[in-house]
Amino acid sequence: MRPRVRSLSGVTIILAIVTTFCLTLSTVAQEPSFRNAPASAAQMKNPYEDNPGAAAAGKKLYGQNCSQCHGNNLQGMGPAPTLINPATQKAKPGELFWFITNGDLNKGMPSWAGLPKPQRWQIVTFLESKFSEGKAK
Amino acid sequence: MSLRQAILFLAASLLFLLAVVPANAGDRPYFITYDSNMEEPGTLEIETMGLTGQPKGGDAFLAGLMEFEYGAKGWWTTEFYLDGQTTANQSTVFTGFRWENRFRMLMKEHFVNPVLYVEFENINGADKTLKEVVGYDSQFDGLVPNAIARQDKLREIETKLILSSNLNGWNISENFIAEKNLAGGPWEFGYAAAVSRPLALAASPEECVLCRENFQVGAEFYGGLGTAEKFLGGGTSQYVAPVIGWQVHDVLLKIAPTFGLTGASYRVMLRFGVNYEISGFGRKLRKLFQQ
Repeated sequence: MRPRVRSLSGVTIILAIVTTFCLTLSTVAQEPSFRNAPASAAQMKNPYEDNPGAAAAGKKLYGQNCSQCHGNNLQGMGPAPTLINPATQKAKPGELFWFITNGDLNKGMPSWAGLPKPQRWQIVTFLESKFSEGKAK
Repeated sequence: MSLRQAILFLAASLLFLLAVVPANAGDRPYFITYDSNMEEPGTLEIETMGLTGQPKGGDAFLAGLMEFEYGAKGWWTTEFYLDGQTTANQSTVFTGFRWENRFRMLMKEHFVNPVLYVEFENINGADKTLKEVVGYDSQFDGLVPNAIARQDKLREIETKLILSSNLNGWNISENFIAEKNLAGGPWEFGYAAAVSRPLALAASPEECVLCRENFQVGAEFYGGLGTAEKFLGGGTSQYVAPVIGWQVHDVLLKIAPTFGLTGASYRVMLRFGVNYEISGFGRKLRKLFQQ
């Protein structure tokens, strides 16, 4: 009986180590989502990814709808924050799309769900292109 | 001022606005129906709307209203209106003011987005803007001469439940209206519903005036539903109106030929409007007072 108890406790210790390792790994890997966007938002794919035409259209839409608060160069104006910040630049396209769609009404960011879906993606494409430009510099 | 002079003055004002003022994209071309879109915080939107029509056996009129819409919070929009009208062969009269507030009830976007609306109106009986149609409002109200109608003071509370959905580029909005004269009388009920869509969902890369994405088309339906004493009785006014919106250099122009569907309704009317926004108005105003 003794060897069996010993082997059982060995298995328990190994299991505990593996579990602790996995938990630590998942905690490290799980970065907080952008503006509490749901996990499903991060999975959404940008239909216009790396499409220069869509980025140009997004630039026009940004000028019409966003620049009054976030500035022509994404620098932020008044209470609206700059978009050139690590959290926004790291955000996945789907998370940006989700945030543009829902806004944060309590903090002054309006919902842009009234803009057709393709136009919201075009704005995301423009933002991504600006972030890429910044990284290239 | 004659009706013709008034129309010319309005046309000149529209051309002036077209030339100088910026507005935001994304506004709907509706005249009566509200959607869940709120004004951006700190932004002031100024809108002029006109309505021209003629009651059966009466004089033609041109009614106008000036709207000042301010985004107080992301979830709260407040608006102030000034109303007036000019009737051919009669007079031009100021018909009162309205103060409305809209509160978005859910902070995130849902399949149906509800908004609560509360308005105080201090108008007189000569008001012909037909900003809403409730109870047994009819074209025959327009037969009362201005000199008499303006003696009738109306202080009213109007509430609306606004429901709005955005689906695949379409906007579908429904408003349920309940209005009460504070001096007495029963609650009056009405409705408004609208649907619209841009001609193109994706934007083109170039700046353009005649691109399909700049045009929105749709239709509005509205009318009275009777009163608390006589709900859904005969004799209400009912209207249908195709609406067209055109975004020109960030200015939204809209027009809606309107057709009455019942004997109590005006047979044909024409609504038109233009709106523009002053972004960061609240911030600029605060700065002015801080200096």
